[in-house]
Amino acid sequence: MKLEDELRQVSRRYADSVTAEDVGWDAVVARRARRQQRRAIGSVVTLAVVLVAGTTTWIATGDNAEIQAADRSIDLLPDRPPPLTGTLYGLHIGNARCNKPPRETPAGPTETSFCPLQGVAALTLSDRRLSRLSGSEQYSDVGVSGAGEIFVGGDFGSAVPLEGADGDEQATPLFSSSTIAVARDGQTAWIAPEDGDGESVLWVSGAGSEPRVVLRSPTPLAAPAFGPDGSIAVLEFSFQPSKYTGLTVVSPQGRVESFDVEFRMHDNQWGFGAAMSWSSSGILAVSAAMGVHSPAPRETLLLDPATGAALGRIDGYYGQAWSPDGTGLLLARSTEDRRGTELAIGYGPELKEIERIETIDGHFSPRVWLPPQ
Amino acid sequence: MMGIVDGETEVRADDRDSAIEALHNAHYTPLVRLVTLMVGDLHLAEEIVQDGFLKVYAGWHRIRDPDRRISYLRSAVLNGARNRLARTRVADRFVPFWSPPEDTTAARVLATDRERALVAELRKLPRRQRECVALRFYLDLYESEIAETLGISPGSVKTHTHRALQTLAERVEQP
Repeated sequence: MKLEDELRQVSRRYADSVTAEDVGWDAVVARRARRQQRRAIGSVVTLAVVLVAGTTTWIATGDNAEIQAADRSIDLLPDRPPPLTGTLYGLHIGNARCNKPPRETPAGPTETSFCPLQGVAALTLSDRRLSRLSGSEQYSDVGVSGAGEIFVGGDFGSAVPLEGADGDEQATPLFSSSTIAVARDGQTAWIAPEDGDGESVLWVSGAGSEPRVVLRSPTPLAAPAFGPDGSIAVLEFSFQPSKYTGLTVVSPQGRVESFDVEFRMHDNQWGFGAAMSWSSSGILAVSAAMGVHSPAPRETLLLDPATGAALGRIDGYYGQAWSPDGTGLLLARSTEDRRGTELAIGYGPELKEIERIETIDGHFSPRVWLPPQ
Repeated sequence: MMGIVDGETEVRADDRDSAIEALHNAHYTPLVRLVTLMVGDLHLAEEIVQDGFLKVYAGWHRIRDPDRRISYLRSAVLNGARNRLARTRVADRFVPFWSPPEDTTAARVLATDRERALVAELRKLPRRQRECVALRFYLDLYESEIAETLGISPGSVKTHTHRALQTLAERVEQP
């Protein structure tokens, strides 16, 4: 049988197994719509998202992670951790339970016991206080400029200021979400797939200026990161097999350099799974999953942006943010009970020293570490 | 003033509630089926389709051409499905233990591993490819209708569908 016919047959058998009796909706939409309409201001309808703020607990914990063999050692970093001051920004997913009753399905009653409510959060390192800044399931990434302007990525078509991002989902309704990058000077970068020829396009927008195309690639691009000199690094991604294959760096003058990188990490999110950040000391850190099935082990790979050479690997951590002075890497991974996030700081000449800092409730993925304002 | 809603049902264009009801009667269940195919969860699919109807209701005054209401509705529903899948991806990225609900429908109605793999791989396709395949092979829409629904050119629909078929053929083992 031709694949087209098989798809037609299988999709119909699957989808048409949902009968009219299975769907319990009649006039609910009209009632909800009228209620919604009354609440709407002008023509804008904002769907309310109820956020449950997670309580924050701090527990000191033990073991260190391991840095595996590196192609070249990092000998620039001092043998002491950076001061734990300033603010960490990242995405936070709380441990809220769904407020939904068990539901009947053909296979029996099921209960949704976990609802990942996600949002942007700030962690003040001096008093270890976690604050939820805004929440929306639309957010897929967060970035912060040197002046503290917060941008989010998601279904917006670009990196947009956090303020006013909620309810903007219709602005560019058919855009794929991805990670974003925000430079110290407020420039933002994002990646958009282009229709037709399948190119992946890296866009950059300065404060108040029109977005411009910086790079077009026939292969998918992912995880942009601004360097201290305004250069931008992006990962190259391949769908078959689903893994990262290279690093491209675009200088402020537009010079493009590409490097093949032997990534161990695959991507179980088809190009959405990695996050990259570039330290002020000139090191790239890339965090991603190492398998195509979830849950997959996580690792953080350290790269030299000048050569694409691997400088080190740290197993087990899914999130990272460089310290403002570029001498330490804040790392995050799940606790054993999988309800919290362990934060640790990596430092030292080869970034081999890793000290556990604290454990926080819920899942916090640090992206940016700003110094005290 | 009269307007065509879905090619068969005529309603008064200024009677929004009646028109929504007609849209619902004709398209609610098929859209729930379409979204179930894409997200693998009937109740989640219902929520997404209901929200799609809400968006159409709220944006009714912006849909001047009655013939485009079903395209607008499909777009709104596909956006909802995409947002949920994006949310799943983000949750999966940051919450290593989290996994989507088990697809009990596949276990119940699909007989072979290959059939189940086909549906599973369909959901893993890049978004545009996934949407083109579902609209083409499940809803049997023409390329022009898919193009209007997704806001892309008919040539792009052809390209995305072709790539999706290539990928599925490579990822799903031959029987």
